[in-house]
Amino acid sequence: MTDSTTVPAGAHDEVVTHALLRVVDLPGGTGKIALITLDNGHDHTKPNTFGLGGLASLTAAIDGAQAAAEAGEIVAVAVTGKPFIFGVGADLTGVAQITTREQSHQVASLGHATLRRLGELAVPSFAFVNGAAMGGGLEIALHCTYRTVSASAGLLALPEVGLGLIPGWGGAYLLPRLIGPEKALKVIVENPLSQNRMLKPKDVVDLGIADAAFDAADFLVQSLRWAAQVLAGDVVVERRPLDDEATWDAAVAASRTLVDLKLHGSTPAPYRALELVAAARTATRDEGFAAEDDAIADLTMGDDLRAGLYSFDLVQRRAKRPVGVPDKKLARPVTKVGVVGAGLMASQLALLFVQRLEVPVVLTDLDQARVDKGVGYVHGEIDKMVAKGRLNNDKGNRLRALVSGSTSKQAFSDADVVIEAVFEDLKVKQQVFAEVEAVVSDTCVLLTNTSSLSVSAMAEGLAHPERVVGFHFFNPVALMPLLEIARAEKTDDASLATAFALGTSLKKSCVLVTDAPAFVVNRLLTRFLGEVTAAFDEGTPFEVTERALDPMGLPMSPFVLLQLVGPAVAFHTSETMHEAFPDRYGISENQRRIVESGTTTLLAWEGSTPRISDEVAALVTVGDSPSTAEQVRQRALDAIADEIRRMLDEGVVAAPQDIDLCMLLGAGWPFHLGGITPYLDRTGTSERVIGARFLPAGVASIPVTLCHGASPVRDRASLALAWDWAASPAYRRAMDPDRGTRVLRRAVLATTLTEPGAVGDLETREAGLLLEGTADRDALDIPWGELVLAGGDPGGVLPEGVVRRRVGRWLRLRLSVHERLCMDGIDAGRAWLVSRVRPRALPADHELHPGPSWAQRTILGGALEYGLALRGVDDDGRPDPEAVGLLPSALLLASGIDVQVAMARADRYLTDMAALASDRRRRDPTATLRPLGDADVLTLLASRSFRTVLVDGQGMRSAAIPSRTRGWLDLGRLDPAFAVTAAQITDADERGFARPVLITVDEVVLVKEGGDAVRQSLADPAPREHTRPASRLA
Amino acid sequence: MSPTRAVRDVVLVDAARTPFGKAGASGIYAETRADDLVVAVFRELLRRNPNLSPDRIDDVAVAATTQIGDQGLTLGRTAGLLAGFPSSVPGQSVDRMCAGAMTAVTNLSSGIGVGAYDVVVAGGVEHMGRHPMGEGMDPNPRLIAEKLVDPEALFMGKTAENLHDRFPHLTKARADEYALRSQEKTAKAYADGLIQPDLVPVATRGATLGWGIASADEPPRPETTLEGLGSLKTPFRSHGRVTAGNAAGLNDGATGAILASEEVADELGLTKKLRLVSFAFAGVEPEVMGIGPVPSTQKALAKAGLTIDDIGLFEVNEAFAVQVLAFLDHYGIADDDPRVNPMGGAIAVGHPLASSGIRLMAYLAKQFELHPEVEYGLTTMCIGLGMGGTVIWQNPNHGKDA
Repeated sequence: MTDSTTVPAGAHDEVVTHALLRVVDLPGGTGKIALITLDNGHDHTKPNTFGLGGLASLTAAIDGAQAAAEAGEIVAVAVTGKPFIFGVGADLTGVAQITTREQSHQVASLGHATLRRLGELAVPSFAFVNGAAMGGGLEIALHCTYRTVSASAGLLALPEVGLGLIPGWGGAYLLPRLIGPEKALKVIVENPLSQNRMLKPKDVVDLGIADAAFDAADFLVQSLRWAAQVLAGDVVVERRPLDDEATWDAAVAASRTLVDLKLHGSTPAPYRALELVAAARTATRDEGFAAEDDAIADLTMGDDLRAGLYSFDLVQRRAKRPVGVPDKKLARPVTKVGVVGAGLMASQLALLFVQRLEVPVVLTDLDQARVDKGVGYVHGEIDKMVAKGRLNNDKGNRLRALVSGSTSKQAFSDADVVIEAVFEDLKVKQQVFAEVEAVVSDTCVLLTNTSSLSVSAMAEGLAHPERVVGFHFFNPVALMPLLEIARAEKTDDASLATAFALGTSLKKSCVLVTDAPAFVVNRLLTRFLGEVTAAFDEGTPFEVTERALDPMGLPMSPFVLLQLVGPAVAFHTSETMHEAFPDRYGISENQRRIVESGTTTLLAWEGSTPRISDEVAALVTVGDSPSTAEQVRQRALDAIADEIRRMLDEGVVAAPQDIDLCMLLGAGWPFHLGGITPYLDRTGTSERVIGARFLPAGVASIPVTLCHGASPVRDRASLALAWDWAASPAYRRAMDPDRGTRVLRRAVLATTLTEPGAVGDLETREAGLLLEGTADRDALDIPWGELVLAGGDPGGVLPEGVVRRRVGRWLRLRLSVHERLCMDGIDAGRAWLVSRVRPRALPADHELHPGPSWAQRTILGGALEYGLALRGVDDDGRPDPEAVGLLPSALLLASGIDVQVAMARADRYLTDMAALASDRRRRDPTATLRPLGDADVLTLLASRSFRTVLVDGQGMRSAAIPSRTRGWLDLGRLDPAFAVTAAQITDADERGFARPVLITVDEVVLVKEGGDAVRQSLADPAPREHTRPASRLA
Repeated sequence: MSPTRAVRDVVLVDAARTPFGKAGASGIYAETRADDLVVAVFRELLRRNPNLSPDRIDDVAVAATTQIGDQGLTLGRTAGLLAGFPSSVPGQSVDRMCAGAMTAVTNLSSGIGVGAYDVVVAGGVEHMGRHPMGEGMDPNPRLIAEKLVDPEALFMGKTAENLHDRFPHLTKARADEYALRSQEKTAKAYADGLIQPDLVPVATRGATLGWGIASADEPPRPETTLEGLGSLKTPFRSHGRVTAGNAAGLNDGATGAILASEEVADELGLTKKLRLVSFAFAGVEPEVMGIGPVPSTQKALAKAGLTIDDIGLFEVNEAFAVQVLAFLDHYGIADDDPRVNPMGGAIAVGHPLASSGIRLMAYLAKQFELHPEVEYGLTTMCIGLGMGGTVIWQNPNHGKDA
């Protein structure tokens, strides 16, 4: 541990993984080796993880090994795990306790400081990976000089990116250098994004991660023997040279393309990983590890990771312990299953039942031909599994013999459970259950796989309606992990318990839902798709609609999902939902025509880009009120938020967590959305639509106490709220035409008069401005509401000059972005815009400040606000290739860009610049501060890590920062009155702080007017001597 | 019509063992399973004999005295599966108390001799820490009530005291001197590197210590002195003669050996370390079980057509010093005859009951290698409940250049 590292005490009860050090003989009398065993004292069901205690123990063990090495007592060091487990990474339960970026940064750098020593000892080090090694566990191995792996080790992976992190204890730097960027990105980025794919021991050797594999039976002894051979030079391990720059960059680019296709930039972790791998070729160890620390610190303080951890917890815990389920002791044994119907769905169900339960399964249908086909399908699938070696012959015979068919429901007489999978028609299903009830015992549980019909209605008229349970699978039945189990009005506990026990035996994650139309997943997906298709029907171009949800990173776009579900099925569900909730669930006439035409092919593909098939294009008619992508997305999200609130009010599920679990497992929605409610909360959608969050802040997001000053979540929410309100017709009607618009009209007029070339011809209308289209650009409609927001003056109280400036800036920016979008195409235009996003900090009362909607964060202390800027325009929105002008976040919204994505980019930029500035400062602690890159002095001051360097890690520093670009002066050596004077004579736009500021790690505070600063600065020591270069001491 | 049978020669191809440990909570194998010890030995045997494809193994017999828990479940079969033998290789468990591994060898050798097997694997294990002597014992009350067995017969230490009673000239002093020599010879054999080549290192795990490696025997006490031995308690009888110093301790360990018909060994290119000549087991009064090797050796010599003078090397198990002395005394061999246990014995290295028979064979094989001038040797041991077992071996190196 480095002496300067202070670490927050673990607030939770860490299960400490102890590093047990023992010096043992190498086989063959070739010397001694320090063997470190990682063991948390529990069996394999509680794997080794590493929190602060675990790292401390490892440090102590390495200290011991290092001492032994230096004393010449040992020839090598080795690390291995407890039985079946090497180590599965950082203790994630600790992440929720991390409250500041600094803490997170320290945990990351402490991990590095500890682990890297394994690779920097005086003797070689070995990792004997005897079992599961994930994340930080595998990184321990990567730090060692050599690695062996047990041929039986399970769970080998770097899964961090899937959760929203990166392998930040050395993995992102070491792995690409060990095995090359292409393979490393497969492990670090692509596998975690592919259902969290794990590596097998053979893969680990083939990829070059491990140098040798040995059988589990005598793994440790053989590993030690191998180590002895390596040490003796009898075995030579070759390491591949680093790839050249072109190969390296090409691998990163290829992986980035894959990630883009999947996520469209929706979540930062994979991109951070790509950047780290890209940089690993030329970075030094120190640089590589420091970049990982920064990435970890940034990601830990982002909502995506918090949502990822929340999702992980739902899938790992809540899915296994469903809420509200009756005592499982009530469950009755299932010794035979009946399946009504022998169609594809029924056959798939029969296959699943027989595979998992290994009890007789009988299918029935109306005629022998259908029965034979159904049974034949199951037998055929079993044959395939036998042929592939997934089942042995005997097991295949056993399963085949268990599946039979009949045209008579009499075959169900001794079944304990009968499930129906017939056509989605209530009458048909009621009829089926009546017939089944006539033959089965009184306690036989009747299950329905209906996706949208009322289970209670299905039970009506039965002698024993208490036995009917909804049992809704997802397609494909064998793969999708979710099972919605619906309790109908009269369902009794024993039947429900039986259904849950059955679902668990089928290895599904079961969620209890009430008998409400379409339960959870289909209800939400139908509502969501309904809004998207409505937008299309109204005239939104296919490409816009199709890509509108890309910023969420859903597993597939809406039309691809529609195609997968099948137009007919989707339409049928939407009809049912329309019947139940006509005001919220519409019927798409286009969809009706498509279904009636009988076509099943919605899409044609050009490479990976879908377009609407010609056949369907000929069928549909669209309106003339297109929406932007942002509008489509917002509309869809609003609808989801609204529907979830209703479902919770109706008691469809117990809690938002169940909704999220359903969306994660049933719809495959990504971890970084947390299912969906964390995303609705953090985008402000929940507050705007239903007036409250679904989950308290901190459950799946950064706790509010973590945010400096105003909560960014709040800011975004209020911004979005203001946006909608200002854009609504109600607002326009209510607005006083004599005052509100008068100022705006004058501001617009001023802009057009002074800069006719920049803005062009504007037509003012009652609803807003219309900018005529030209050959290069489409017409642009700017509602008054937007200008109100841009002027930052809904109440009409600001001086007209300020409003004029802000509106002018807004119009210029809006137009140049609009032109860009028209010229380059929407995606390229957005990419152009995002690539130019820069960070920018300003004092709250600064002349340039664009209004409340600009600031994304306030640095604690209230003096400094942090938001976005754009490279290529000046502060008034005029083109200037060298300038970096303020960028109101509303402009991003108007252009369909997620503010979070832009913020992530800006944050990254600031992190990089702050690191460089910190270096400069460390080299020369007495020099005045200068801007770095596109970050001016004020902006650098918004970086916590830079402030930490400024204050030497602790305490307070007073400073005069009269100009945002010209430097700052240490008040330890200067009259504080200078600060005020210097600020007064600086140009208003150039000004920094009008008065001296006090800087701590967490805060930037403007001193009160008066002489406080003098006293404060006198108490503040000059930079410590030891930080100065020796040459300056003379 | 049955085919004419020719008895085939049997050779011991190879033998190896785990280091022996002290039984009990602080012993090296305190947290290691008995079956894992056997597995370690079996895997090493196959590794040492790459010419032997495991599917050629016709049977596996593993001996354990207490066939409970990790020493139960038909250990010969389960250990084979755990060691990675193909499922086509069968297995069995064997019990003849201390002569378990010896019996596994002789039983399987008989099968080879009659042509039932080509290649076999024999082994023995006793984890006396996990399975103390007498665990789960339920002697039929008739044994005592009808005086079928002296009550003292079930306590091996007491049978050793009984042996001192029977042969008063075998004094405690002679026993202690013998014990000291066993320690000294073991220490020298270690120093000469004679023992280590046949030890299989075993990964041992302690919950509080982490993983370690057992690579040497734990029981030997090279620092032993006569004075020290003289001061030890006699736990089996007050003012008795048997002490912890002149008896083998309570130990954990496993052994294993590959045997084959000589022609198959030649065909496969396997090594030949011992060639079986004859074997015999004999019963004696249970309360003086230590005398067992005397009649069993008589029988084995008779079957081989040899006399005691033909035997150039003896590996006598040292359950108790007095029991070795009784054997030597009977055959007129000096207490310190260099042909007897030249690398020391169980008093120093330990006696994990059912595993020791193969340890004797491994020692004899090493001595045959060093002494090609010797043609015959024997391994013998006393057996609880009044038995003795002897196997006479021919030196395949005999007649070759030294």
